[in-house]
Amino acid sequence: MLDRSRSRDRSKTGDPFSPAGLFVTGAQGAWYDPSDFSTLYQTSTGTTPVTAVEQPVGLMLDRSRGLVLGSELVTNGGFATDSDWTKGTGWTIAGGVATHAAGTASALDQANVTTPGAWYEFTVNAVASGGTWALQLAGGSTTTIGSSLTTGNYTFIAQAAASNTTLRLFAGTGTTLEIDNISVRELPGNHATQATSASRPVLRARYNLLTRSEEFDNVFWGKTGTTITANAAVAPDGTTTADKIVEVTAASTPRVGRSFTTIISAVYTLSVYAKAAERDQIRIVLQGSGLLGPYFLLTGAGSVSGAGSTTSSITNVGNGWYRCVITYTATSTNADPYIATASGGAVIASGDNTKGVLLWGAQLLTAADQTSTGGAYQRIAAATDYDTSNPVFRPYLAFDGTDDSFGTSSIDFSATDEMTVFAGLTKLSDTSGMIAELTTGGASGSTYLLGSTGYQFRSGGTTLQNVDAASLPAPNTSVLTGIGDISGDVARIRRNGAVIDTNTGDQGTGNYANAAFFIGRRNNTSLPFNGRLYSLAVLGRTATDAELASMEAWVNGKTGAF
Amino acid sequence: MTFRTMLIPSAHVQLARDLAAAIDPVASVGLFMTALTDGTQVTHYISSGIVSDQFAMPLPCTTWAQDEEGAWVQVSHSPGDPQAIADIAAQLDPPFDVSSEQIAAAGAASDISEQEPFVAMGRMGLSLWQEEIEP
Repeated sequence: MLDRSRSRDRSKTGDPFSPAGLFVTGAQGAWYDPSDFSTLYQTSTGTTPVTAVEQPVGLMLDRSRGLVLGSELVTNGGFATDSDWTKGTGWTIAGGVATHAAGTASALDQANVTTPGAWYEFTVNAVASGGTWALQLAGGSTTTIGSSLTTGNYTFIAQAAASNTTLRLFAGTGTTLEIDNISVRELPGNHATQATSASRPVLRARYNLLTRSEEFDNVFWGKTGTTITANAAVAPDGTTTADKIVEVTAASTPRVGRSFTTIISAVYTLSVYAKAAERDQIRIVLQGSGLLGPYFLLTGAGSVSGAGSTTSSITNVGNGWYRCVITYTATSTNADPYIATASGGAVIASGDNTKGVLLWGAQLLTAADQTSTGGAYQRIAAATDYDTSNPVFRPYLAFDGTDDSFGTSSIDFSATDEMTVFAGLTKLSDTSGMIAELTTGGASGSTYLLGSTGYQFRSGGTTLQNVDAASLPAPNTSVLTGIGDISGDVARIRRNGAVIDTNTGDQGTGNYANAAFFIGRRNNTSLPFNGRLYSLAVLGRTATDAELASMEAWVNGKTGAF
Repeated sequence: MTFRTMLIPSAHVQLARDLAAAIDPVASVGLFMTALTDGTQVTHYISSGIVSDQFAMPLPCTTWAQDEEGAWVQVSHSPGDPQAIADIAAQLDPPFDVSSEQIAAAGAASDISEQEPFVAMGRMGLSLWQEEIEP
């Protein structure tokens, strides 16, 4: 069953703004909230909930209708009487149980349970032996909700396809099966799915680009003229996880480092916590060049000197620890950072194996993530093991820029010629990628949000008009709003709460389409989006100024763009 | 669940698409739709993401690492099990007509690894084929 306690409609309780309030008048649309894990499932049939970051997402529920389950649609789902079901060969109903005896593959059907196009939650409790069974919707082409089922309590979320009105339990020839309860309830909404496993975005909340951020002894870090004593001291967070970097005798410029790919012209912030031991200075060098190599003095209030000092800072965080920070604009595709022991404003020409410094908590952030997280340190032990406890590590759906996307069934916007699309996202590439699109492109009544060298919103009836938020190179985090009005000839794009551009060109006639809504690719096949999606909503009307302000603030709370 | 990045040469992509869809008509339909180019023409198609262990197990897989100069070095290579895939294909209803030799040839020509997609593409000297946004 869905945990709807985290999905309740706050607009009905006097609580602060909820996007659900945009839809209470019955406007068509959808609202997806990846920060609400209870709306995410790893498979497209809703069998496996998303419980943690780094899991794939195959089903994302639309919260616009409140995720309130409808009434029970199965008659005699508890099999209290031998009625209401059409029994195939080998099926019997008695004692509150429907039983299939092995011998003939056959179905137990109940007609007129589902309506084509609607979404449902199916729950069924089964005891099977000697074979498998399937839960299906029949009528027209049979839809298999769950196959190769055995014993257990199963929950599925699935949509009835065209002509699917009959609920079917299908047992194989050799299957002995007992069903003691089955339930089907409608789950309204325009839910988004991805059936292809490799094309499912991943739920993620990772910001620190470095791995093994507290393990300088790990092979992730290259050691040049140094040895590492792991967990040698108490770190700033109170755990004994700080490592001591000890010089190798006679080594030149003893250091630890790691190559890392960066985007030229993008701004990055590298930071590390350091504490004096026998040495009282470190030097952080970026791009392997002394042009970006300030010295950090780890005594007193702390101080910074040398090349790059104008964009560096040091903060005394107590107990002898300092956070050393350098922000720079990449002029190379390799950050190639290293941290060297130093003394007297110079690196060590000849190492001494009795001397070193303590290090902990290395971090590399993009400028956008520095803004959204406030530079908060995020521990990264491994790709699937990292700190998500700080609320500034906002969860997002990671679209890999090659084949990740979602699609919905047709959403009927044909009664409106007004549209508002809200998205909180980070663009990680300037290659054109479809953030969200109604229709497969070009057709009358379509709309999209596209990421490229900036962002583009499209709206139109028989004529399509584009409007741009130009020159916003990746990585870029934004809260975007696209506003379309076909008869009013308005295509407008807002970024971070302000209007960027409006196109008043003729959009022709007609309303928006009754068509599928795709997220992350055009038509689930082309123009893959490379980036993060924190929040997305599409509303079949023009939001009021107050709603725009409230919704953009809400999306920004999930995004951290401004 | 297993992460894989799969780059399939154009010459083998239709077989790969059809075979994957036949074996798993739910979770493997729509693979290998994104075209890659070497700068002059489309040479490969890519799929990347989390797949089931059963899907990944019979496929070849190569592990890569960078040497001190940044060059990619093959650390290990698993050839996969083409015969197992051919056996599964033969048991489908209707059977999917493909030989283990055809599967082995496609696997040998493909690049399958645990690398992130853009890392694998960079190693291969490939980039996304830029599609027209219009219409």
